[in-house]
Amino acid sequence: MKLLSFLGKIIYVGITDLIHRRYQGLGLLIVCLTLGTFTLITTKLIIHDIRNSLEQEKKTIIGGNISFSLHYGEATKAEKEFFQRFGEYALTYEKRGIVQAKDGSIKTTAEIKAIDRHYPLFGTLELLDSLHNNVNFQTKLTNTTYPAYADADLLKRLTVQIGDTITLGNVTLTLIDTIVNEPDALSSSFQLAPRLIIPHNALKNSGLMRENNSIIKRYKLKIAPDKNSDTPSIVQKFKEEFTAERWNIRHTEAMSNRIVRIVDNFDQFMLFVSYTAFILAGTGIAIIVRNYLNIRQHYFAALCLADAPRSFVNGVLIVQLMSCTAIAIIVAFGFGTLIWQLLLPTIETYIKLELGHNFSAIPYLETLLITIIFGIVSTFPVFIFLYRSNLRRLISRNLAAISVWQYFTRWDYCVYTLLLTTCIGLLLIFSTDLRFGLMYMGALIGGYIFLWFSATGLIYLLKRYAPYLSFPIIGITLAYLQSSRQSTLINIIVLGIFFSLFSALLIVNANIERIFSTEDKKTTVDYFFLDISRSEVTPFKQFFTSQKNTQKLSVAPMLRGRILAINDTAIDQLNIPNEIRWVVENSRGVSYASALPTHNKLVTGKWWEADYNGAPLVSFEHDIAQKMGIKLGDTITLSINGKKIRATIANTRKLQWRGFNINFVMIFSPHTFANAPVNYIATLSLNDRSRSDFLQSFMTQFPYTTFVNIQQVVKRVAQLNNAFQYSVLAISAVIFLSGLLTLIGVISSQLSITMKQTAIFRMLGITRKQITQVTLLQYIIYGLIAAFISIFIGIMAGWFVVDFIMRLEFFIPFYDILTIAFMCLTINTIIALYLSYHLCGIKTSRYLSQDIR
Amino acid sequence: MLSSPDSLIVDIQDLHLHYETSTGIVPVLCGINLQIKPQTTTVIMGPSGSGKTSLLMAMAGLEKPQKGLLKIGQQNILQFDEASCDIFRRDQIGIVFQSFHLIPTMSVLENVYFPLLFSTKNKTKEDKNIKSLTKHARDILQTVGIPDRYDLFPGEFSGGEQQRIAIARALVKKPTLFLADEPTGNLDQHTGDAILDTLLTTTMDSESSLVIITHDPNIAKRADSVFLLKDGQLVQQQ
Repeated sequence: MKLLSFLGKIIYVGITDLIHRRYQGLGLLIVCLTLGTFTLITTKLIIHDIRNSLEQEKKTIIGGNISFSLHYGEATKAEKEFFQRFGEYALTYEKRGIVQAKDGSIKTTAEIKAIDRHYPLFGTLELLDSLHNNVNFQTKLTNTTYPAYADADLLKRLTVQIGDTITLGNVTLTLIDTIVNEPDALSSSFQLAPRLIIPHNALKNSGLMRENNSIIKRYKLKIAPDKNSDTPSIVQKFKEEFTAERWNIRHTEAMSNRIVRIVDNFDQFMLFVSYTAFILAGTGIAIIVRNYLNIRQHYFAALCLADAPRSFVNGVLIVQLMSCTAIAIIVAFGFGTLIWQLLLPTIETYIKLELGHNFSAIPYLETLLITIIFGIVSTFPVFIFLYRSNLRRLISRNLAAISVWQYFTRWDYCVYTLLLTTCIGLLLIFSTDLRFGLMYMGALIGGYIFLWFSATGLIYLLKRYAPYLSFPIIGITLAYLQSSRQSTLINIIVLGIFFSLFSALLIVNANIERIFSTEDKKTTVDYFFLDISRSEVTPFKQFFTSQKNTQKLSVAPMLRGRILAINDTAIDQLNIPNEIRWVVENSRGVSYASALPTHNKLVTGKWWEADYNGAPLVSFEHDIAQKMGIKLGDTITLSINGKKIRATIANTRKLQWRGFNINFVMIFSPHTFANAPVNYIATLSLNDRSRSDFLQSFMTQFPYTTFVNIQQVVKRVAQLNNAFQYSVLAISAVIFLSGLLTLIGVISSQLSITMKQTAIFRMLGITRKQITQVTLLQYIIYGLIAAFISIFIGIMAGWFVVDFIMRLEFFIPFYDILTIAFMCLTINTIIALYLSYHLCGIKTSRYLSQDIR
Repeated sequence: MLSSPDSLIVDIQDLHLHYETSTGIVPVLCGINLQIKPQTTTVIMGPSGSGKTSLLMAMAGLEKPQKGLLKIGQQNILQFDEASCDIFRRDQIGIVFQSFHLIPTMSVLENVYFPLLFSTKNKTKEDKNIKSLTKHARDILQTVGIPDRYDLFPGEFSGGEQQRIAIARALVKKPTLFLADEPTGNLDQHTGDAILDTLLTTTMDSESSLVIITHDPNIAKRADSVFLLKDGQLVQQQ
């Protein structure tokens, strides 16, 4: 009872004081903590929702319990019987093809999906109208036309409507409905063009299913409920009974890494950004709480003088901080949940996954845990000070001049280290990829240390050289900067973290934007051609050589191959880093060449002789080879058309990923595929991009060759990119606000000290003009240092994200860097001017007559 | 020097100062007349709230009286604009307060030579040389009896020592007029006496005039003239 009564008194005193003072001194703590927690909870809610939906909708996303995919050939009779043995299967064909409006005036590429009557095995193919309900999709509508469903985007491109007819190769299709949602869209290859769904027979009769054409056949298996077999064991049986190398197999227990990787990357990116925003807020909180103690030192001393025990004084502060934290958490959770719900439709549009019905307490609990631990870490030094110092002396001492760290014992340092380790541990546990998590923590700690050393180095240099400067204002400013060590450190670190994160986001954004910029479009090719048969290559080249509009044509043979082993060790036994798993997890386009292709740069080894006809040699992309641990002389085993090929690494090359050039990770010596069935791909650059009149005669001469208008692809990807950019900008805005408020919090909490110091300066005869000059110069110096350091850190972080995670060519956006430096200086100038205005307005005599030491 | 020994260092005539508050106008100084000769010690006493500190602030140019004449040396500082007043204070007036008002984040040495960085008195390059400034500051600190621990911060010194540092800071620029607002108010009797000795000796040595605001009659005994401020009026006691 005694304890309860004691606690009751603590709560009463703490809360009444807080309410009486209208949260003065802690208001900014609530704002900083709210923004930090809001960023974290919103990110976690969105990520958690996406992950849960993926988990719950696995069968729908895959289109079955197991998806078996082939690039060449069809399933054998025995394989089909195997599928039937375990349940029902649906077969879909996926291919890019050219569709034309009935009059042939408009042509565009479509992602064609031919379905059978079993499709979809899970989920529903959502269509805009119900016209199709009365139609048997697998039968012809008339003697000459097949039914088709199209994306709204395809209708727009062809300027047709539902009910109109279009042609695909040799067949005529009547558009009977608009696709709203395709249940297994996420498991398809990346869609360069809008979707067109047709029946099997329509594709078969179109003439596009030629040998070696790039067509993905997916056999999606729905396991019958009475089959007492789990998914992995069925996959295992299939691998034992058949030549599994030619198949790409995905199942509910091993989703496509592409999908998981997209979610993981998004997860990592968002999480790390929100962590940084949170840490920024945490730094602000530590400073605000420290200064709250300065402001309220007399209050706490008075409690002590009124014979309140030390535990009571500590308890009052804890209660006050806890009530502020509770307010911040409640507001942040409320807003976070609201924003999550508001963003759902937009996110669903872009990731094609139904979200929003996965309410879970886990994101809230995780955020709560992180917030509380961070709160404890941020405020721990202040509590140690209150616990160990002579509280009665607070009444007569200038607390601003006292370092709380001097009260730390060895045990306190141990506890503090433990708390910090717990914090880091939590961040690592909640990050999806431990390696990236460690890298992030390393970068963060490194950045912090770098900022600390830079600020300390500056202080040392100032101490050493500043007094020798003969300009009074500069001399005084520099003397002030070095003497106000804590203040300089805090300002540079807070500004540094804030602008580092902000510049990293802007630099990443600028790099992504560059790909879609007008300037970049000049470097891209205009058309991409697929499925050019060996017999068509020469006429294809002749066709474009004769066109005046042709600027450049590149043609390369392509086969599909899948890496099975490196140095005879099976690929699934090797530890392949996540960011390059895409190279090994599916079959990939491979090529052969007698000479080093243009846009490629030889890095190691030698290119083979043009007439080389010895054992197979392969040239590997340099960066990927390094990450996979592949060296010259190593061997690589691939499955190509079901045939195993073992080749030796002869050299490594660097590719130019940007610009939509033809790029192959692996290029073999020509003799390797001397008699292999092969198709060609090509890229075309035009002199006049606006002229596409050659397409009519091209389609007549090469009716089964698919082309992709790169500019349309760029637009489509740009739409996706816009969504990403908007989310980056939204995060940047929150971080900007959070950082700015933290900064204002830091400056405001130092204001009482600064004002008193200004009063002393005025007493010593320093004019208002000089005070303004000193303040302005002081903040410009903070701004310059913070800008310099944060741009450096931002470039490093941006380079890591762009080069390692996004696999794009990194460039340093000077315009954005100038913007960051300008913003940094502008913000600091505004702060300095506001501060000067505030400081110049103080009543000097009032401050000087106060009895505070 | 602003004046010859025969002229006045402070000449105040019919000085009026009031504060405007939310409850109305509060008169503080109501027609003060005060003349102080150079190189003398003047004590102003009076009950709390009588306006002693306001008078000192006015003499320092930190308060602007509404009416009257306030000459320091030959200059009527009420005619100065604020910046000129600041510069005048910087070069001619030294001030110490009961609360020391040292800059806690600067070392003792930095606190003392800090005013010299701005001083327009130091015209030559040699005067502004940091070695010369620090040497001067060290000399003053030794004079006021601070042990050679000048790289420490003010918080690491006792109250008496901090007041000596404040005195050193005020003296470093060789002021014509030295204003002290209850300089021993926060100190025990023994330390207070020692500080007073230092103050009287050093101001005399530097040929400054000293004005002390105090409640302590013992200080008054050592002054050349003593005034009592009551209800905004100043009356000479001694």
